[in-house]
Amino acid sequence: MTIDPETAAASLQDIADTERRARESVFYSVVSSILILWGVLVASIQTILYLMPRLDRSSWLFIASWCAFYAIGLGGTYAILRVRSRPRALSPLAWRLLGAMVILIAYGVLWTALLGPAGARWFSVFWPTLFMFGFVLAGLWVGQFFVACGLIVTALVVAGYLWLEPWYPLWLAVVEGGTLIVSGLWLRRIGMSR
Amino acid sequence: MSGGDEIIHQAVRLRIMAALNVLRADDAVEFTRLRGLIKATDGNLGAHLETLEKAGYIEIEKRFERKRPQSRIKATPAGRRAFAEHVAYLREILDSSTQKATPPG
Repeated sequence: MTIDPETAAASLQDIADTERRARESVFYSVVSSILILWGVLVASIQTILYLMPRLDRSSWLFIASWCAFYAIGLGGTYAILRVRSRPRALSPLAWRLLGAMVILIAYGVLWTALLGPAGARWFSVFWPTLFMFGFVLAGLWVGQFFVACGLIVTALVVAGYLWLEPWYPLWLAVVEGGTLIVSGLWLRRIGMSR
Repeated sequence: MSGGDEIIHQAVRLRIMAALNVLRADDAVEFTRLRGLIKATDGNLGAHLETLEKAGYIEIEKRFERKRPQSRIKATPAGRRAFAEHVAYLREILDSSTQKATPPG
């Protein structure tokens, strides 16, 4: 067969466009698993905190629970990226995603250490809103759905912090954990592979 | 210069192979999701998938999920190889045309 240079150029452009759309679709599918993982973790730990209202916020059990939360979250995220990513297609994006997550958590840990005297109650609103801040930023690339979710959940978290004190952890489990799970399921619908 | 692949070169089939080539070797994509990516109609996509399957470039797995029929498509190793060779052929054409257009300096 004979192909002229113009046709070859058009075909290569077509291939590049299709590959870009396919990679985006695969990326959505991978991110959906990560969001569902973090949603289940948030819902679980906040439900546990609600069921144990007398747990001392400076006890080793409380600190160990949060360390386990982040270890499972980051370890699970890494595992999903390793298993689901095809290096040639996703690796740089996947590593940026993991890096952004680590930076966000490191930022939170730094301020938690510096503002320790501010108290556990303050941190209970700081961490969820910090995560939602990351959600809003990610939405600038991933889509407006995430920006809207991040802003709405931030408002709901603050409202719960101000007016729903006894049920606040349960409120976080539903609002923050639920949003992550629903967002993950929504992305799974438009993602390409499973 | 090796020849191009006539089966893959057709525009819709080229897009199908480009999309499937992004997936990992053991991953498959559901028919409706592929249709969305390729921007083709059901009938059009179905006909081109059949051609690619006959050539041994893709595998189509038909199964039932929640009592609904579902087709899942993945590229075979032969399909990936043929696609890579065809892309290399297209690049060769462009490279040689660029060289011809550039006067020796």
